[in-house]
Amino acid sequence: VQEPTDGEQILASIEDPSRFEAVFDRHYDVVRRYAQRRIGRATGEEIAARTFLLAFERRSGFRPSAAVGGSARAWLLGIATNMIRHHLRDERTHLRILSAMPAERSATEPDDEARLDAIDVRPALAQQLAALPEGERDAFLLMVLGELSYAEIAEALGVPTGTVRSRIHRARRRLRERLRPLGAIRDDDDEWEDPGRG
Amino acid sequence: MTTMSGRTPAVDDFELVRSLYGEAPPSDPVARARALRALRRAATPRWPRRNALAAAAIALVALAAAITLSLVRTSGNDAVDQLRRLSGIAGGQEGELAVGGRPVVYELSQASEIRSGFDVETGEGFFVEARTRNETWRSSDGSVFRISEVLSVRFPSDAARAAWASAVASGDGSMPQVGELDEVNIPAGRIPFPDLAELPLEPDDLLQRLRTGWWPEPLGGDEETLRAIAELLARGDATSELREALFEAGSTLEDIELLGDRTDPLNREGVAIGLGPADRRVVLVVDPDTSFLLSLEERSGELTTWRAYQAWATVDSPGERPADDLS
Repeated sequence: VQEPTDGEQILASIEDPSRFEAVFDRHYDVVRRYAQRRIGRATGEEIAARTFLLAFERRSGFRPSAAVGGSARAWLLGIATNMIRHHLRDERTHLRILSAMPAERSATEPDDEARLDAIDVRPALAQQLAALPEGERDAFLLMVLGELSYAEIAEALGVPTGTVRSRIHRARRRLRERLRPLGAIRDDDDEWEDPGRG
Repeated sequence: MTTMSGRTPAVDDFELVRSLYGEAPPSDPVARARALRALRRAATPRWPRRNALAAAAIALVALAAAITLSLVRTSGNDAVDQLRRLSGIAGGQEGELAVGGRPVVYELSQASEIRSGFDVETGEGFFVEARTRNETWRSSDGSVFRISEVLSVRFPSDAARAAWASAVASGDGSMPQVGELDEVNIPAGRIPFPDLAELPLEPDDLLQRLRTGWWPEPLGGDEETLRAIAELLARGDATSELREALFEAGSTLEDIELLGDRTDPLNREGVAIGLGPADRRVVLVVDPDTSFLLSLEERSGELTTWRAYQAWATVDSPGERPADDLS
């Protein structure tokens, strides 16, 4: 028997609210990981919990036909992203803390030397991420940390796909302009593929 | 191109950013269970449906109450006058609500909370009402420490009582039990407006700030704004100037109503001011002589929850209680 899609569960939850629990089970960890990586353990955990409460309240507004692949993942990450916007100070503090932490190293990893190089640029990277315009940072981090495609980010943020493309392009350009003088990025990496879906 | 350390770069910006953020912490089962419990509370159906006869009886009582209320209810202008009068009283007081001059503000309140669960036998949702005694300590850095003790548990039906007993026996920690203590530490910056001094004192600006700057989402309607005003009026670190501005701001809310004299859930007499449709009405009961907020009552569907504010003081550290018994 095929398992009901997110859209079907959400639609059913309007009559039977307990059906929303299936959406929680499927996506809680994705939302939690995204929020915690982006804003820190405690606040991220709280934002993950509140994301599902708010999603539940707004479930009648979820449009399965507009959801990429019928999944609620982008919708939920969009709600979490909007909540993170209300924690700008927390996010900046978290970035400051990250910039001061040594990168995880493992002598067994072949890319170890590159990781050592990355340590040098952490403060500049964190500073530039904090300085990005909100819309660019959200779109970029939904791609990098949330692993969403352009179409999914567009759904999450409620903007056209073209806008997402240009926001991510601008964000990457700003980051690369800041990092290139430090020699931390490859020169041959000016083009990229949509990493979300083929 | 070479790095500062002379090595050949070999990472792209995506990899750098992922490296900066690192991996997410492993899942915390307690936090997950807490999030799921909160969702279940929100998702649990309203009180069990009553039969048609009971519903008709309730409708008649409601009609009678509405007629009575309409007789005692005065106009919106009266609400405006009353709030302005309270604003004047608040402005005439000195300093913060919690007096004593020590660094940590202590607040004492009681509350009625609805907790919900699922009957393990039938799978049906049920509610119980927990009456709690709440002590809150606000430090100057914006952090908050709170201890809540369950004073009593009330049940809307025998079925709810049985379901609660079954849940407690099965070890469901979300079900309230008399004497249960809950401690919460909220780090600095995690409550709305940790520094009240940042709030504007001009009523229109204050109202705008409340509507747009409340955490985590902007406020949805005037009843939410009135609730936010109440929560700030109840803060021990609210100054007389802020309380004056809050009453004044409340008087500008459209459809604000004076509901007349009323006793609060702790049987203290006050004047009631309310706003919102019947199924999500917010009511403040205020001491007409001192302007102190006695209680905040919220109607949500068929349920009413409340918080009654009892005392404010200052102490030297979180967890320390005032020397005098304030309850």
